[in-house]
Amino acid sequence: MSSHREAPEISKDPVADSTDLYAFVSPDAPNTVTILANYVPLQGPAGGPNFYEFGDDVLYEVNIDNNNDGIVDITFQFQFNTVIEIGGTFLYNVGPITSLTSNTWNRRQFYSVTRIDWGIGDPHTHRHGHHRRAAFTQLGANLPCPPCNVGPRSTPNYDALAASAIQTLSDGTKVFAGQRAEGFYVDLGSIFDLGALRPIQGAHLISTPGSALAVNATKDLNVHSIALQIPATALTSDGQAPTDSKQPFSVVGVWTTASRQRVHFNNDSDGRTNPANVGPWTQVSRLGNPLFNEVLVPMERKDDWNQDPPNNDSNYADGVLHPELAKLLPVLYPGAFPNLAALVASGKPRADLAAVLLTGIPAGVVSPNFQNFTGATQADLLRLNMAIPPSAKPSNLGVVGGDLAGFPNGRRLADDVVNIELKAIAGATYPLIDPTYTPDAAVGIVDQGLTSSATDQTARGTEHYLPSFPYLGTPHSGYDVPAA
Amino acid sequence: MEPTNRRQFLKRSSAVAAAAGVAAVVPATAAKAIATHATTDPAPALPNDPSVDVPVVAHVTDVRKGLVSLYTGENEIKIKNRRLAAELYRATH
Repeated sequence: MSSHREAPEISKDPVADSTDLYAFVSPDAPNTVTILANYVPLQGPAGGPNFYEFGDDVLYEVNIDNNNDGIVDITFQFQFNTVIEIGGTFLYNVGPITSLTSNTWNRRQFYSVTRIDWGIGDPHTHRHGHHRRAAFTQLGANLPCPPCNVGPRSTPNYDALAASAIQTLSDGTKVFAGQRAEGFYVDLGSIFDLGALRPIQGAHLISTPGSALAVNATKDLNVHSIALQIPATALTSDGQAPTDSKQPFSVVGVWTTASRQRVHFNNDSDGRTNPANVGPWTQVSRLGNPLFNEVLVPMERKDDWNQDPPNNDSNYADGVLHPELAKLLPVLYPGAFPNLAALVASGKPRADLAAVLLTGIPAGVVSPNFQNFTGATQADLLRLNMAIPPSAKPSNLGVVGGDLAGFPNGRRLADDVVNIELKAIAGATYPLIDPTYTPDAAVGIVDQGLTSSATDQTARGTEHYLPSFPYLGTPHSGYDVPAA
Repeated sequence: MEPTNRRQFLKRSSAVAAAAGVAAVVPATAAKAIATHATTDPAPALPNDPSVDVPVVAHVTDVRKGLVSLYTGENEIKIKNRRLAAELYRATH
């Protein structure tokens, strides 16, 4: 999936598993940028009595590069603390939870938010070895998470209850941390069954009589989200509002990480063992562009990728320049991709994909006023040109669909990143660097089949998106999902 | 995660970290062996500071070179002490 369980080690550590990252100019507050960092994948809504939560022993970070070098300039750190309020019961709650202070709510979670501005403040050693100054500012502490959506008896009026957990921090940033409905959509079962795309599965090398109707494998699942809505002036390197899309510093690169302390052991005390953690924080999960580690990094290197900083990504560039999936498509769909097959056989590097994923798209390539180029440093960053306003008529194909406010210029919830990346790998974006190349006709019908058209903003199973912060929908209720 | 003043940390903790680390990570029999050895070599004085009770873990990364990593709080302190590394090795083999 986008980045759910995308590497062997992190697939065994769900609370630290970065699943999706979104960054977009807020459509209802265009002087702000919304960043959604999701973790804890594939939550069955009925998973009680120990419902899902963030890890108290995990350091969650949203990282910003605002001067185009692939190195972090601003970090928003999140740390969580879980408390048992009642005790003496096996239950998550012993009555309806009607507010964030309900005394019927047994297991609660709180969090702190700290902003780090790198390059100013006191000397500090970043975990990736940078010796830099860093100024720490705690923006909020003891902020409450909402409960999970247990069901109508336990969490009645859930929408209002969750909305009350939206906080405004001391710098004007809005924040929310808690359970949400999964927003990413993908026909997982089909794609990982040897690259099958149900709408065109009849052309697959191994034809089956299975359903041609696409299945959104995540439509009934929940996720935990860290959501920020940040004034754009708090993200730019000069503190000025980004108004000129051609200016390099209108672009920020965003990525998320999760870290654990180096040593975990069961501390023996008074005949009982309790988990203990010591040592520096060590990165165990990372996410920039969707599907990067999942699809472009070989399995034996995925765990390494999760530990690396993005400015080391030249080490993984070969998977972008010569993607395995581009070699597979002509094999899996015989005769459908002759031009792609010839391109692969030529050995020419996919500079188009490198621009989209590793450096950003230079000015003038797509349109005169568009760029999200961040320089020559190859780094998997979700790059957002903050001076591009939200689209009045968004296309779920983003830039490929002529909508400059969508992926890979940041990423919005409805962007069909699976289709976009499939089309790009299949050759749709190669003419950007070689106008003599003609994409195969099949590129036009490469489609996982979950949207009805490019203007469809509610792919099958994602009808729950909200029009305002935190945009991800109300989590599915444990009582109602799965249904009888 | 606050910035760490390494010099202050070392002054406060490193002298006791090794002893506490051994107690924290090696089995009782090995701890006993180290304690027995220590009777012939007076231990450094310990500060009267309750913070020494926090977990400290020692990892001998290269016994021949005497490289030991000490983990406590959010810090890793790398030291080079062939005697300490050898004693930790001997206690666990």
